[in-house]
Amino acid sequence: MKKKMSMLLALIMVFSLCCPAYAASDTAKNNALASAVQDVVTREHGDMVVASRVDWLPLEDVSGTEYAYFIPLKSGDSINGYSVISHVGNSNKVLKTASGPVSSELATAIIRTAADNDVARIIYEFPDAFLAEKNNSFYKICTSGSLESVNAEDYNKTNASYFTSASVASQNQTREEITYGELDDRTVGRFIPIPNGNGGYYYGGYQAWLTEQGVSQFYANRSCGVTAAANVMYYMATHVSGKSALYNQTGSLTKSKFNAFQRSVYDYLNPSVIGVPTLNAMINGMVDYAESRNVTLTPITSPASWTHSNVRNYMSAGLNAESPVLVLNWNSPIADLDWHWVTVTKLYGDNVSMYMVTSNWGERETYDFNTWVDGNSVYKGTIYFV
Amino acid sequence: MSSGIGLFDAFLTLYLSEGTMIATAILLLGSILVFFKSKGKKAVRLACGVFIAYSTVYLALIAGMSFLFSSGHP
Repeated sequence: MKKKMSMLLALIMVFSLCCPAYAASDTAKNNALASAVQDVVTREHGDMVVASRVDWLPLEDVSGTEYAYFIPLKSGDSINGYSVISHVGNSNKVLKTASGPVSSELATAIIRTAADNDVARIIYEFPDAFLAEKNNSFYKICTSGSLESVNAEDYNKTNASYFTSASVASQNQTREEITYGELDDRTVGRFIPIPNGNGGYYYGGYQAWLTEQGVSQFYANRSCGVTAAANVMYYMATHVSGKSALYNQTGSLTKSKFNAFQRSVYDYLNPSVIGVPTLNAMINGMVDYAESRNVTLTPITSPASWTHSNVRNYMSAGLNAESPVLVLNWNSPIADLDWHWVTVTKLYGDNVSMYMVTSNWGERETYDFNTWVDGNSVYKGTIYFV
Repeated sequence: MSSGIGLFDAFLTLYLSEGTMIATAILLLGSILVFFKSKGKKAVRLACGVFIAYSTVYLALIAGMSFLFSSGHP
């Protein structure tokens, strides 16, 4: 009996020693994750902070494997964005960070959905879709907070291949970051700092504002090229010697002044029913606008073949010359870049992948560079000016 | 730098310009008109049929692209 009691006591002691050890290990891992995210957030999104661990939400893949955390980002007490970080094995890979009004709404919608007792789990589909499984059905979480029904069969079919490759990529790796090209003023509040009225800043212009300048909703929806061009020309006007006349407004930057500026750019780019569909159309419009302002704007073209290193070198050269780089895609595997122009402000990478930081819909958005370069597209291109 | 540069890009821009869209719409309407007014002229009707088919495909492509290029909201 004494022997049995001693064994039991020993077991209890070992167990009680192990529990704090695991807890300590979890805390250390959580701290490392929080630190990794905070690094990216501080570097890319200015003064926002990572929410405390209790506010993180576990994200699963379609097969039910928990592989990432949804991490709200805060400015003061309010949620102003989110980050998604994978935690497979010992690898902490920041899959996405986003900030701004739309990301804030989406983050709030995700948190509200996760709090619903009927929601079994939240699924993350890189790069943008958050889905909820509720009563054995899948729903896409929309920025409005509503749930949009998703056909489970189609969803599984479409995403199985992605999640397979994602798990392969998530191996034990030490994160090491290399910056290939970046603008001097690339953070929120420095890159085209248009005040948003809530004490924060937009990250570049937003095409929908054009409706306030007499442009119809139909054409405003097709004016992403106009906003991207306005972003480039405003930045060059304020950062590149001899280009100051590109920006035709005076005084400190406000939303209405930037909007008036992008309206004047609109008149030269003149988007058709299909917007600004080619690099050539963009070049012609921007050069015409610059000429009207007595500024020389020269497009830098490259006959080099479309490879990772060539595209990376080309874009980096533009960014390091303080020229934001324009990217156009028709179809793209990255939904946000589909049939759309965006402005690139930074290109960086680690030993797992490469990323491009963009101004998209007035927000700072980061996308996977390799997915973009490798993705099948009928037409895609990138251009910068000096 | 693009997946299609130089002359191809210039041609594509011209092909997708509003001028080409308007010209194609006129071609379609003209072809339809001539098609119905040329009963018995097989060669003319055949040529009109080809023009109608081409114009319809082109304008359908433009309509599709117009829908896809609507990127006003995230």
